[in-house]
Amino acid sequence: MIGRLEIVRLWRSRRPLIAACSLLFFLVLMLVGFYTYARAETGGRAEFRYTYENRSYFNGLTFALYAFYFGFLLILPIFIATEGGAQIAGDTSRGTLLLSLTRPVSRTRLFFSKFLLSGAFSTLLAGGFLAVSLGVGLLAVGWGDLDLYPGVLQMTDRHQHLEQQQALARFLLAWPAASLALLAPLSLAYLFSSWVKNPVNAVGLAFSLYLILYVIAEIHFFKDLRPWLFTTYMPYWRELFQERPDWSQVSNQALRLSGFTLLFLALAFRRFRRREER
Amino acid sequence: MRPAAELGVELALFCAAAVCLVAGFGGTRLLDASSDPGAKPKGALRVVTWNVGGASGRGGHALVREAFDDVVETLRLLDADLLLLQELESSSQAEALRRALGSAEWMLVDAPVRGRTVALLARGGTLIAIDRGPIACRAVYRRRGWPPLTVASAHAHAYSAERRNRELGLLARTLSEDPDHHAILLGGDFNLDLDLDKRRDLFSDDAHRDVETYNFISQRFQDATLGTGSTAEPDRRLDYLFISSGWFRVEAAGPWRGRRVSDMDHDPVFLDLVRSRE
Repeated sequence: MIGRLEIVRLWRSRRPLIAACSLLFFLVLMLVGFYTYARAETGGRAEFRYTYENRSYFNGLTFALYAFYFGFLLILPIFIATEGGAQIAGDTSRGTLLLSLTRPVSRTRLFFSKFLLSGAFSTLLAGGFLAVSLGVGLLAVGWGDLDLYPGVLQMTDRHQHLEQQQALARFLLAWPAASLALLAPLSLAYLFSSWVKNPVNAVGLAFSLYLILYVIAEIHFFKDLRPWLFTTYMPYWRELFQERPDWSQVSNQALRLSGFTLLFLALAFRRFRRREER
Repeated sequence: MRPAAELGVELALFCAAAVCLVAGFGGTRLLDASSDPGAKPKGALRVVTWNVGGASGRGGHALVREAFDDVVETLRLLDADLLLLQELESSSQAEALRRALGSAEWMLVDAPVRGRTVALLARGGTLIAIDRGPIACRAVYRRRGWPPLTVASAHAHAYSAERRNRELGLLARTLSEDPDHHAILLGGDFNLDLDLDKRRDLFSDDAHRDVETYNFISQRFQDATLGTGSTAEPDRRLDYLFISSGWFRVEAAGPWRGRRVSDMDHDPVFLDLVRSRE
């Protein structure tokens, strides 16, 4: 009952629609960027002669991977933070949390129902984004084998070649892996949502902290801090697009992200079960 | 749910977080550690590349007198067979270095590069110069029981990605089209900073061209010290050793940290090669 209620409320909030439209807009911009980049950079300019890159480099799989990579790091966390931040703080600000707790529903059940729903939403959002990226890539660019080269996107440090079927299987694996990674910012937002009463503050706190940690993790001056930040491990699923993924590295980083997620969730639960609703 | 049960859930979450974090971080080094080269493996050929210049002043400077003895001491400890040195002050300093290492053992080829000197020193075989300049000195190293090896010690431009692209590209092409079909060893300070997960183009727009340069070289030769970490301040991988694929097997490789003196900004990078059974 409580789960169904939360689903209805999520749907009526229109947050899924806003997220889907924003991601689609992002994909359109990526597509335009891809075409203009390909036209400018493969036009035989002198500085491009020392290259591996070939005619089949820019294809739908490359497009989908790059679109998902950027979207995952910078766009999806906005909607994930919004979802996590709006859950408890949103109900608190509207007074509906108190109303919910007057029903014969335990705090524990309410807490986990909301988190599970947010987790399912972020998983579906990541999966939908990946699927649409692949679909747009197929229709607008066309598929082929996936060739990755060392470059500014830091996907790989050497040339990687995956056959089309193999690459699609890796995309399929990347979905749960990326969804797991998104649970860390989600639980962070959930933690703030259980602390503050205004959802705007919770979302703002969660997203700004995510961005700060992300930037710190990217700048090499802070290399000694990087291992301690969950943002360092967020793009761990990139390893799945290597010819021979380092599974031990993948599982270690997945465990670290799960650890951060559970820690944020434990702190959020500790706060939620002790607070008094007025 | 009763408070005791809620406390149990909370504790379970904290425990699960601890288990995941311990399992994920367990056995990994969180801080960058040095790779001590240790003793040279039996039958191996040890190669060392080292930019022995300093960073202070406008454009840095060549090896200074105060650091000379420490550099000689480090090179002795490394027990190398081939030394690829950059940023020596002059040909006479290279000769002084050869004498300090033991002139009866060591052969020297050097070349002026942008007002400083790059050098090749070899022992245990013969070293015959092929050419000198503009960014490298090239020689053929012959050693009993080993295939003839064409070696180049290079120092690429520090401030111009375009010149790095042109000069390193030309050198790599020349080596890859070696008419004698020798094995190739190309090393030195390439000033290409491409380390995965570190470079994010926040401060420079050189990455694109440097990536192309790196790809051009790595398409032809094996990056023998790949994945061994940074070699220069601040946390950059600028020093490389590339070898012909198929001729050798890499036993050990990496920078030896903690050996810089004065204001030196590069670590010596070693490579232990054994002959491939192929």
